[in-house]
Amino acid sequence: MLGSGLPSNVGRAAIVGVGTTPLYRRGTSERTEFQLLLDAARAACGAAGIRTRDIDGFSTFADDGTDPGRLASALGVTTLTWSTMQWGFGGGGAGAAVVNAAMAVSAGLAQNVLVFRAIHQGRMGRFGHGGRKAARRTVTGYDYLYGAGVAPHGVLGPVHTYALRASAYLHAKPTHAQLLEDFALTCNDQAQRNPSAVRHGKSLSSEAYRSSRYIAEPLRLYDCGQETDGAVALVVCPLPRAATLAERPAVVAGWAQHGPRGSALAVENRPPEIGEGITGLAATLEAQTGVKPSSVDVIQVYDHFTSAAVTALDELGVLDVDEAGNPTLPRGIALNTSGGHLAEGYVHGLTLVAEAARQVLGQSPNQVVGCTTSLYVGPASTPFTGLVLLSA
Amino acid sequence: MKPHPLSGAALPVPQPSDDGLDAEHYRARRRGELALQRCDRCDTWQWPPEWVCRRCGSAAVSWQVVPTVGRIKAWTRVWNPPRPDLRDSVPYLIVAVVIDGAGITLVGNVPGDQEQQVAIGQAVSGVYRTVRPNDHEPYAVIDWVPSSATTTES
Repeated sequence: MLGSGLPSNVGRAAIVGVGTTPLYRRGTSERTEFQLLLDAARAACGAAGIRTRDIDGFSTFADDGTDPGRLASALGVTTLTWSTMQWGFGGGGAGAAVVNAAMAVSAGLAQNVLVFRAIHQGRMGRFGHGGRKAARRTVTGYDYLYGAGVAPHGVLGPVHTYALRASAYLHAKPTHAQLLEDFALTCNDQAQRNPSAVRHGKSLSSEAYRSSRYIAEPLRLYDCGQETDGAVALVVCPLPRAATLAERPAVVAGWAQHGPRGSALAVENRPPEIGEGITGLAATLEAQTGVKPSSVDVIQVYDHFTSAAVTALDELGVLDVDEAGNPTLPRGIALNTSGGHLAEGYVHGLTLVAEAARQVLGQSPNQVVGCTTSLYVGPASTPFTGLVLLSA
Repeated sequence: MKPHPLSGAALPVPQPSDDGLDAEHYRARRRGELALQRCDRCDTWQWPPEWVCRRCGSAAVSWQVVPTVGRIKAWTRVWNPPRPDLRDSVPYLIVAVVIDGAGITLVGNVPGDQEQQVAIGQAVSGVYRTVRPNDHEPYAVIDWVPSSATTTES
């Protein structure tokens, strides 16, 4: 196990069980959102070897709409002692939800915290279409993504915001355009070894990628993540008990969550000096744990868009260079091993955290042999994003 | 001139906030002017608006009119209709423009041929377009015209 640089009231916790529901194409699941959540919770508890009634804490993020009282009752929770929602900023909170759980159990305030997220697009409104925000009649104020400065001009969903940022990124680094394709093909290839992935059994060739229709230039269909219904739950327990529940618990070994000054404003006004928010996270991780992102075994990077994932890998400092001097994806690190958002499915980042944990637990369908360090990296360009390092 | 494809698109109507924070910005826009906040103490421009200067914290921020001139720093052309009712409105251009002098970024559209080529770094100047929704008061938006664009329109 790594010598953890985390303070002791955080760094004595581990993920011991992961539960994911099947991932359905958006809006098609006949299970309701709450049913999906219960399914995932039961699966996570089963994997952890605990009973649902033993859960005593909840930790979620991204304005999850679950009623915690209803959830506790449905799970038969004996006593709830912890209930937190990471505040603000969508998928950037997936890692933080794990750390909030880790803090609770490390401090002795809870014993079995359920980290979860459930999405049924029938209820949430279709993400790719901006859901309710795209359909509202008036807009006031300057929300970081869809405020009065942008929505009236047709910025109605994440793809528009990220397409704008991708155009600037590729203008500054034209040799990185190939990395978007490489990343898309990598995720699809990984999905071929994950029977639960939406793209399992579906090949993606370079020709198919390049000829796919534009959604918003420069982003094509295959640059954009899947839209799925599903739920993910994880059980976080304190060490040393975690080691009695899982052979190789995924210890929360490092963490960084940052919103640099200027990042929370309307995203088009991010100051250039803060980049897309990932550089600072890598620096914090290294200062905290001595671990450079380039030295981990496996990375799950938030890939709602290829450009966001590539930008994040770039700012992490893990891109390689080939003989001709062109940038390449990292050669010694496995990426998005369950297929990522691009090819497995999308539950706001928690499928990526789940896979990051499974790699250490030794339970991934696409297992990296001998994986001991596993990094989850949140979305580039959001105001307050983070990463979590898990280790054996 | 061909109407902009987003003119009849029932996009969210921008409204001033109830607390008056951006009232001056909207008043200026109705006059056909671009008003932005600038700190009286440290001269920093800021957008979106706030009651205080984000740089120095001073509450003495006031509004100044600036020329609607800038450069494209990012663009996208939307092909996939973001809502079913926008099927006839695609493709449409969106640009992020850094305003000369103030250095802040505004987002807007480009008039004319939506399949025209635009480029990062290209100089643009603003023209006002009035949007007339069926169910709302008309309101003005600034479109951005590339300086090298021709002005012949049918």
